[in-house]
Amino acid sequence: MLKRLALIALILGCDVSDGAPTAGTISDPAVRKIDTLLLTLDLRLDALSLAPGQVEWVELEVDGRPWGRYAPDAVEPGGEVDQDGWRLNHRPDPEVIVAAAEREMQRADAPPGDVAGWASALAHALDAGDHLARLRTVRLKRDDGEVVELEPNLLIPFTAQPGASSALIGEIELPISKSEVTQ
Amino acid sequence: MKPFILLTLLLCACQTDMKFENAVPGATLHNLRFEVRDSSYVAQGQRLLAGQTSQKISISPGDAGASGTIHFELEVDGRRVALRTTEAFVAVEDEETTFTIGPDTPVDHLLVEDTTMALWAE
Repeated sequence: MLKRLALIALILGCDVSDGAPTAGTISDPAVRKIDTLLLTLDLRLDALSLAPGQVEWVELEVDGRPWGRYAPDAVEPGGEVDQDGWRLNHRPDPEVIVAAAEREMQRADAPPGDVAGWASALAHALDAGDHLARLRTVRLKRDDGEVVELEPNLLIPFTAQPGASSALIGEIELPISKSEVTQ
Repeated sequence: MKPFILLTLLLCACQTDMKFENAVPGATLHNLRFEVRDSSYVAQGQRLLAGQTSQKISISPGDAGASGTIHFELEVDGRRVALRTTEAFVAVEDEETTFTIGPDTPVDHLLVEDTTMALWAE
């Protein structure tokens, strides 16, 4: 996983050059827009909160276009209660997700094979103003390896501020039912 | 005089040329070059906006009709990535050929190709 992130960072890492062609990627800070979205995700199961470390990734869209698939920041696994194999807390302890282009997982799993694919991958830049994010999929993984994919398709309006390079989508509380996470 | 004119006409008729065309909506292509055998043919001006075509580039007789690849940088929203076509392009001998880079053009990234399986593996 670290190797994958390192490679993506290399591919999309920012540097400025106007000289000869290079094998890397170049970004021009003069025209840089908002390319990082932030959100916290609290999954509520009954009256409890899913402990961090069990969300494998979330998939986002912004303004109807794919924004990518992102893993939460790594945390120490915790949990006060065990219920059907899920670790739960009494107090909310949300996952923190930094949806920055260089962290996108899909590109490493399946690098684009044509110009349109690369153009779409590069188009992770928003102008200041109002936008609409959609939380398409949340993939959960229990400690025993059991995987559950939720499709909340939650629409989240947010505002990108002028001059910023990141925007907070929101602090999202998502109720899930026991039937969704038990097989 | 007549043989000279005929020879000149003959030489003109045998010219092999190529152009680059950017057919990627909303994208700019930079530093386009056609690499064939040991030669590299670079587009003048270095930058093509969507819909633009480069000036004509002459291909030497030894490279006419040979398969090559196009290297370029794709820029969208101020971000760039260096790409290379994975399908062959050929400058047709004695003709003017336009190499069109479009959304469907198959490409790879040099870094991706150089690192393949080891880095993609979990």
